[in-house]
Amino acid sequence: MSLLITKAMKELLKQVVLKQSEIKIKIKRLAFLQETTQENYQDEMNSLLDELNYYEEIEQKLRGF
Amino acid sequence: MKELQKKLEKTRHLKIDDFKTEMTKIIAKYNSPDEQNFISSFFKKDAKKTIEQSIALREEISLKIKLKEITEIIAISYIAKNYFKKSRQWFYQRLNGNLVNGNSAKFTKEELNTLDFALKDISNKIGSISIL
Repeated sequence: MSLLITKAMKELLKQVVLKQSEIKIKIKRLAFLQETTQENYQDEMNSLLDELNYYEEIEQKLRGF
Repeated sequence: MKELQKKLEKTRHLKIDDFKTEMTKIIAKYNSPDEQNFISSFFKKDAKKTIEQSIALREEISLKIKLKEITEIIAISYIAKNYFKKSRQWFYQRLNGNLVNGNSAKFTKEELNTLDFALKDISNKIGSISIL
C-alpha cells in the first residue's frame, strides 16, 4: 500500500481516537447534570453513545489496515 | 443571562472533576426556572453540535476508506492525470487533508462528482474488455 495512504489512515485513526475521547467527556458531563438536576439528557446521551459505538468499531477497522 | 453564559462557556475546557465542582456552584447560584432552562438548553445544544460534527467526520471517514480501497485496485496517478488533469500529489493532498495555502485540502463536491464519474468510466472500460 502507498505510504501516503498509510499516512492518511494513521491521521484518520488519530481523529477517531480524539473524537471518542471528546464524546466520552460529553457523556460523563451530561450524566452528571442529569444526576444533579431535574433535567433529562437521555436522548442526547443515547445519540452520543451511538456515535461512540460507531467510532469504536471504526477504530478497530482502521487499526486492521 | 450573559454572566451565566460566560460561566458555562468556561466549563467547556474543564476536566471532569473540575467541571462537577464548577457546575455544582453554578446550579446552586442560578436556580430560577429560566436559569435552569438556560443551563439545560446550553448543554443540549452543545451535545447536538458534537453529534453534528461527529456525523460530518463519519462522512469523511467513509470517503477516505473507500478511496483507500480504490487505491489498492487503480493507480491514483491515472485518475489524477486523466480525469482531473492534476498530479498524483494533488490527489494525495486532498486525501490526506494536507495544508494548502493555510487551509486543509479537501475534495470539492464537483471533484467528488468527477471522481465518481472516473470510477464508473474505468469500470465500464474494464467491463468491456475481453481477452478470450
